[in-house]
Amino acid sequence: MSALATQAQSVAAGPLVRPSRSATPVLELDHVSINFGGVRALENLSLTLRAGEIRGLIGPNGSGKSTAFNVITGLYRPRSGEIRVAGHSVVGLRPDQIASRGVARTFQTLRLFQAMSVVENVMLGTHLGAQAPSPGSILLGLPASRRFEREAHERSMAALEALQIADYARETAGNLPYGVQKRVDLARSLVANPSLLLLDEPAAGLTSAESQQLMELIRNLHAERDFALLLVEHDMQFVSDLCPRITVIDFGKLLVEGTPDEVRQNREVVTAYLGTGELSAARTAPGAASEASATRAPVLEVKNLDARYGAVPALRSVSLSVASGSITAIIGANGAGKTTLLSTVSGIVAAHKGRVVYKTADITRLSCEQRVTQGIVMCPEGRRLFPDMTVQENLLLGAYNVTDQAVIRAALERVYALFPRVADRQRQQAGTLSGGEQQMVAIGRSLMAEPTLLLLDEPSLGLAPNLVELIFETIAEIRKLGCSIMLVEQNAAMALEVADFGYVLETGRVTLSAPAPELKARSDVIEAYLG
Amino acid sequence: MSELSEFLQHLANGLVLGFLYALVGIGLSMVYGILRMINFAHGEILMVGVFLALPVSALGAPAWLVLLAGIAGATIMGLIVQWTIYRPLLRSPEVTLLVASLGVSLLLQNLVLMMTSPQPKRPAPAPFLDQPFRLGEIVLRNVDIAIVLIAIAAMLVTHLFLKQTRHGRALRALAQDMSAARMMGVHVPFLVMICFVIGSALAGVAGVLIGYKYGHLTPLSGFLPGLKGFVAAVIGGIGSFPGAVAGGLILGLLEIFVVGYLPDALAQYRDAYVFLVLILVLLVRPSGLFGKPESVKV
Repeated sequence: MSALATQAQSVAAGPLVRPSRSATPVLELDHVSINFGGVRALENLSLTLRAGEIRGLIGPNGSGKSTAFNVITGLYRPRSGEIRVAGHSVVGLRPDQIASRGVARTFQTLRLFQAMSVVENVMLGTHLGAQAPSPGSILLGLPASRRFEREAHERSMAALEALQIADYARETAGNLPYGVQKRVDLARSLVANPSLLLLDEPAAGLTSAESQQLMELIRNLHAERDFALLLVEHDMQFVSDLCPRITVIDFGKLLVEGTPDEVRQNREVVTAYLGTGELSAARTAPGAASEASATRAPVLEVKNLDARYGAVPALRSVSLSVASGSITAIIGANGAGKTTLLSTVSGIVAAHKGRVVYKTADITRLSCEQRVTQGIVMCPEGRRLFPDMTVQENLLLGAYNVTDQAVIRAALERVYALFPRVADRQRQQAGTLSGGEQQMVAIGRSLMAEPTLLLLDEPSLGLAPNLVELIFETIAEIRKLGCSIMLVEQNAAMALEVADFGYVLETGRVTLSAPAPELKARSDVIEAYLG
Repeated sequence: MSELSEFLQHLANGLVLGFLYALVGIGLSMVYGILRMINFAHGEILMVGVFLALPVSALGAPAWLVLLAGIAGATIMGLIVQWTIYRPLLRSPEVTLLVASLGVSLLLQNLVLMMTSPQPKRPAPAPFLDQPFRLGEIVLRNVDIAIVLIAIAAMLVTHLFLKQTRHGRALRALAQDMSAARMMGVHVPFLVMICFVIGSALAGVAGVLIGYKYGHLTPLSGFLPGLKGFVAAVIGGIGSFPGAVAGGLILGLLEIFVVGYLPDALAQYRDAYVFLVLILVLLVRPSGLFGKPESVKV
């Protein structure tokens, strides 16, 4: 009991940083590096944040944004480099010690205590940096502890009011809509009055109206409380509107730092992240195929499909069709439901309502395994190789349901011909391959069963620009093998370059559909999506 | 007896015991690798296997036939348990499966107790297996050599199955990423069944061999082997096939050396040392010798 009390006191006695316009930066990263099993997640990353500054941190998936947050908040310890909060090094401190120095964060994936009420969730945030009453005093219900509880409650209610969700205070957090839960998370991080707030994708999964409101709220809160803000977000519009300065990282390294306009015009950023949509090789040439495909019978039809996770709707009455032999691109922001759509077609996620029709047969109730034997194969986001098995074994698993050895050998040869780099590494453990090679194996593995319909989820994710082009060229080549492709991509410009037809997905609905060249020509689509 | 030959004698005894633990540990480890479930009923499956083999032995069947009967008995028992109890719980939280397996363990112990008697039983004597086997100054019995040879053969077959066949590959894939394996068309319930078949068959092998070596079988006879197989799997890194083998051998050697070299007053707590080692391993290297630490992404 006494140990707990001393800990609380020592935490409270630490240098509590209050917002001030002093010369000392609120946050300094000084050549910070960290590795994960041989992979450089951050490399010599330096970043300085003045008191009260709002800074955007962007970069492709896997570029190290969340890792940077985890290093700053003490969840990971950097291999080298220095991290200072208000001029004091925090390397080696525990996450709670760093938090007590005025650093608060939200998480990319919500981490609320689902079974607790909203106000209880927020009150947990008040424990940091506070002079907590001793456990004995709480047990005895002494006035000091009751006063502490009352104050924590009042501060939490104030934070909820500031975020305009005070009406939900007594509700169970887990039952609330996603948008409200995100605000509860924000309220919890604000209640300790941080001098530095780290927001990890606050707008992900919100509708455009919701994210607009959120931006206004963050602006007002910032004007009122004057914290420094570091914001990770994929929605370029959101970042550009909110942040006077943006830091772009790629492969854990600083790419460029500047105003939103400077960043948007920077060539490196465009190739690494925003994408130019330039695909050099003539290998892709959709032309004739797209015209022909308009008349062909659809290989897949999705009719009024609804899917949900718990009570949260992910797809709302989605209808679309994939013409036989075509590439159909599904584009949309993070959280728009693209992956859910593919997963519902593959059978990994069950449809709540609606139908999935494949070659005129209704397959809505078939299991994932049954759909694979019928020729629908998914190549999942993040590659999902079996890391402890060799490249060859991974590929053989792709042909799990094929028993004819001659067919398997032919399939292996085809994949190795498609990806010569993979052929050289047949006996290597898949987990030790580079990201690009892993993606090649993942695509190769999904081709082993000779699918009729290939579901490709974010094949270019986290890959270097030149590899991205190689992957897209390969996708165009796979189509020539007679396989229809449903392609989900962050890199919309590139996806529309190879695709015949495109659908734009927004918060679980199809908001636009047109032949790919048409979609690509409509700058408003690209603008709305890329910012 | 010289000090060296005494050491070698302990070494041989430890290895024999270790192979038995490894046989039990492999099944536990494989089931854990796929379902993230500790099957506390594994020892009872072993026990039921031997008890079903006992009547075959009583009819005067040769030892190899008794062994096959034990394998068949344990496999059938394992399948029944998996189909009736674990399969409906496949999508439940891991702790539900764990509690269910504890229940199955008690159920099987008491069912066998009810249907037979608490009197210890043994397979009909097999004179050949009881004959001494001398290796220099080391004295073993033929049954010990049989244990080592049969265990190695069983492990080799399992290893080849896992490495060379499509279902074996799928089993390994399942342990690494279940939903990715489904995307390859792997039918999960079927492979879970295969996994239980392999684990139960190996437990059946261990059960009959234990019966011939110690000849003192009660409905509680599966409990300690099951628990020690679990410790072996944890020492080696639960979920890892080579880990379970190494863990079993280490555990067997350790137990015999403790008994051999500690004074009698201390050596009589041999089972306690096993669990002391378990606690030490969990403190120093929680993921075991061959295991990989599980991390939660934030």
